[in-house]
Order: sequence, then C-alpha cells, then structure tokens
Amino acid sequence: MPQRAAATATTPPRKRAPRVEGERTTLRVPNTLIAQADLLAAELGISRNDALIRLATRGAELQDRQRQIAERRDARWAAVMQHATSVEPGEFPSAEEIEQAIFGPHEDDPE
Amino acid sequence: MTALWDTSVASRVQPGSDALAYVLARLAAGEPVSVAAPAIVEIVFGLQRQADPRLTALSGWLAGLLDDGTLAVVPFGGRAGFIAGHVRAELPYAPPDRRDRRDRRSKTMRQAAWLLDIQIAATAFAAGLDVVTRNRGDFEVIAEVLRALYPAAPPLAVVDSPFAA
Repeated sequence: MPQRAAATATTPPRKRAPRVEGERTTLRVPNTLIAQADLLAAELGISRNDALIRLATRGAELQDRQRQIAERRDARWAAVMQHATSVEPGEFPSAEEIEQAIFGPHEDDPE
Repeated sequence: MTALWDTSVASRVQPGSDALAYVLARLAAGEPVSVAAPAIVEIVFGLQRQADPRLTALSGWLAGLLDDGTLAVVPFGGRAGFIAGHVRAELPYAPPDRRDRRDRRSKTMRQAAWLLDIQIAATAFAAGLDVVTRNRGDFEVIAEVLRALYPAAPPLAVVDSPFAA
C-alpha cells in the first residue's frame, strides 16, 4: 500500500490529550456542536473528543465568570440598599421643598 | 467580561487600530468587550459636533460595531442612575487637582464630561464589573467615594487599558 504509506508519512501525528481523571459518560451531542468540535479538532490536530472537552471547559470558565459577576452585582446592590434605607422614614418634606432641592440653586454652586 | 471600557479606552477602537484587533480577538473568544452606554454618548458627541465628513464616517463605522454586537454596550439603568446620583452629591465637580493640563475644554464641557465619568463608574458598579480607563486619577476618586458610601460592597477596581496604543 504505497499511497497509504506516503499519506502516513506526510500527516502529522494527532496530538494525544493528557490523561485526565473523571467520570466516563455517554451523551447525545447536537450536530451544530459536533461541527464546531470537528472544526476545532482540525485546527488543533486533536481528536473530536478532546475538542469537545476543550469547548466544554471554555464554556464552564465563561459560566463561572458570569456567576462571579452576578454575585458581585448583587452584593453591591445590597450594600446600596443598606445605605439608602439606613434612615428611618419620618416626616417627608413638602412638594415645594422637594422641587427646590432638585431644581433650585445650591449654596455650593459656583456663580 | 469582567470590566467595562470607559470613553478614553473605547475611543481608541478605530479602523486598523490595536484596540480593534483586541476587540475582534475577544469577540472570537466568545467574550465581547463591554462598553458603558455613557461612553458611547461622549464618543459620538465628539465625532458629530465637528463638521468633518471623516469623523461622521467614523461615527457610522462605530454604529456598525454596535449594531452587529462587536461591542457589547452595558446600559445606564435605574440602579446605576441611583448610584450616580449618590456619587454626584458627594462630588458635584471634577476634582481640580486631577484635571489633565492638556485638557483644553471649557469648564462647562469638563463638567459635562465629569458627569459622564460618574455615570460610567456607576454603570460598572451596578453591573458587577470593574472599569477600564486611561484616566485612572478621576476614576480612582470616584471608586474611593463608592467605597466610603457603600463600605459593605465589593469595591470598584480601576484597571489599565489592555493595549498600549
């Protein structure tokens, strides 16, 4: 089989992923994701399986970052609410006083 | 996406720029760069107020980046508005000792820009993000006020631009 031998000689060996610990599982992968995995596998010279793992790992990283941002957003707003509601509601100012506060001049304003 | 670009960084996104290359790389990685809505106000205002068709064309090019999601704009919402109001009450005017001596804008224009900086910082704070700027001084002042107002909150970090130019 000279043609096959020539092809083997010119094709770079596929990189083997390092062995990882973890559960073995079976799952149904949508065709669109398979297409993406095959594209990545061809680009990097790795197997479809390794490409799927890389995509999943990347997705997990993004998910984790989004979770961290959401936690920080919620913690900040909780602190804002804590500050905003720290004064017990008593008597509110009149409508005229409110309008003056929002639209009127302030003693610190420059001339 | 953990940080929000201010005007000084987002305005570097121009055709052929290092900033655009960075933006496109982030988009390809599935993490588009986020820009604060008030920064878009400031950039488009600057481009449109000059009667220069090249600047108008650049404004149109920028509209394309917003339209196709190359840049992810974080809106200035109700929470950000509430926070910005608190900050502005503490810091009504731009800190005089922080002003850039090369800034030749009028006092009125600097004041408008200061209000937008407060809005940008508040947008980042409310969204759980940090702020990326080439104007560290002013944003560190705002971050300090946020820390004093809301001591229990995770602080707003001020981050340098990820590209040199």
